[in-house]
Amino acid sequence: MEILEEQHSGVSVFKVKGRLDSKTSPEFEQTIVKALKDGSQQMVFDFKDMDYISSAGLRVILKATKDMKRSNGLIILCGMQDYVKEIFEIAGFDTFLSITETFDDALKKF
Amino acid sequence: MNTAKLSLVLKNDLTELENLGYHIQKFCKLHGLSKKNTFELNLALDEVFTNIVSYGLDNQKEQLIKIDVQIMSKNVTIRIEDHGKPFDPTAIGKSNLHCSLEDRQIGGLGLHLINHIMSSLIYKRTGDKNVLILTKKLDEK
Repeated sequence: MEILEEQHSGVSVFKVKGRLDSKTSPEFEQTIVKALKDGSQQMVFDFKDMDYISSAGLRVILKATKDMKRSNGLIILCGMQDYVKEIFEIAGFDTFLSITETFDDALKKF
Repeated sequence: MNTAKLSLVLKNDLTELENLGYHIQKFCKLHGLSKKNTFELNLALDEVFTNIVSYGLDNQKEQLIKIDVQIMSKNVTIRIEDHGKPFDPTAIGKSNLHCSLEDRQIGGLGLHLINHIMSSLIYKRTGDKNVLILTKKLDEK
């Protein structure tokens, strides 16, 4: 897994490439925790190049969303492949997460 | 009737997940499975494997987990064997996934995904082994 961090006019963007599983998700979690600590209140998780996610990855996203909600911030997820999106739906995550098709749509949400 | 089989023996280490993913993808591609089915099989195996490594085994000792995947016509059967503590995933209650974000518990999700993706789960304790058999009907391409 690779995480590419970018800033787009005040929005912290995290592009995840590869696999988000129980082995790799702690690194993603640490990256998000650090960004939250540094005061980031607007985040986009770009999953266009993420080809795999397990419940361990979903858990990190759930935790990040809870933490962000507490500080009145916002996380938008975008670019997911259809089969990845389906896992979010099976998990029931689509009911409380903001998900957009494209990266540009995600940025428009702020 | 077409039959294809993949057998893997993995160490009780999460670094094996990438290895598992690699072999499943290669096997599924070779036998013409859809991207969605490939992902689902990888996910079901990952969740079971991660559970065994994280909770079922003494991580200090190297132990082996045996995985067999068999595709017969449009059905896939996965068999996973480990020597860990007895653990029957079919006896665990369904998690409540329809509560609000605040009430949502972190955990229990892996099993929920497996139950959703696979058609059936059968658990047996045979001697000192946990044997889990998962089946699924594959999508038509």
